[in-house]
Amino acid sequence: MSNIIRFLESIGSAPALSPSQYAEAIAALDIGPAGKRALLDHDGAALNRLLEGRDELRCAVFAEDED
Amino acid sequence: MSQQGSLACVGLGMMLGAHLSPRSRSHIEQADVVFVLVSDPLVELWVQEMRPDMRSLQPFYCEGTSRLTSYNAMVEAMLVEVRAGHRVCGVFYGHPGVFALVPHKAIQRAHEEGLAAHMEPGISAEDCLYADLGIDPGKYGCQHYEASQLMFYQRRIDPSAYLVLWQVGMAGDRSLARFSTGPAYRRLLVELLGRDYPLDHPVVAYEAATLPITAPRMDELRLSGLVEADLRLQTTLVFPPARPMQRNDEMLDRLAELDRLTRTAA
Repeated sequence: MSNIIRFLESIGSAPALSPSQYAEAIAALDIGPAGKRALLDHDGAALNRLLEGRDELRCAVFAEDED
Repeated sequence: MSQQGSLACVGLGMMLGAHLSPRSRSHIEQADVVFVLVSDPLVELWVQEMRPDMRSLQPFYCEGTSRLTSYNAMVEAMLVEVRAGHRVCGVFYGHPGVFALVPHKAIQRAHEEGLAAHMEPGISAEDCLYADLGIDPGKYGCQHYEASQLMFYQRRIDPSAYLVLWQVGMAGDRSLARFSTGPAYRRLLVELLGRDYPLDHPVVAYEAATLPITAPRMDELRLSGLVEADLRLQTTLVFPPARPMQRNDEMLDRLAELDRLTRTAA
């Protein structure tokens, strides 16, 4: 698993990190400086670019009128 | 001997790593074929890490094509694998049964064909909304409408309850082929809502957080400001009540009479 995705998964399930603990956890990650910067900036778009996720994503799965 | 196929439509919840239930994770990990439709590209990558062979449903969307066509193609793509005897997992963001036609239709069609299919709930944007905005839907009651449906049909809004409008970013789209509409469409929505709410009534533009490093959007606007507001596909509008609940004195009198008769009979 990508270290960035693994980190997001871990703080998603255990979010009780103080700002300093958050910064320390990022500093300890085995990822490049751009990834660390994006995490410190809470910049999901930058992370997505780094990980080459989709540029655009549709999410509607509902139709207001099926007729 | 061929294996009987099955379909499980599961909810990921809204936030990466935070909301996935153990049952849903097991379905994702153990299925033969996994289809995915989520609202954040990093969340899609997360599922891809769990299942590198996952199949995204994103390619079925096509601007200019009716979403119903896309939805039917998604359903069929899943059912082809179920009919082939595979254990199929459809992974959807939030709750797979809330404002989600595809999982409902896939399960219904599977059942019609005598195939096993079921749904595992997830934490929806609605659930996140109650937590983030501190709203209890039971306090005054809470109405939910898809924004376009509210515009297309004669509905009765109760302004003494909360009102929640979904998919406001494409409100008024009759073609089912667009993913956003503009200010002219929203002006009509505001006009419609203005029959029940003052134009300066507060409204919250809400978007649940999809990553644990980001915060939910909770922008307070005014009804009149919706025309030019930044409203996206994932934006939900939340209207607090505009007036107090009105007592139903006639029903209360009848209940009191019923209580009196019950006591007398006892």
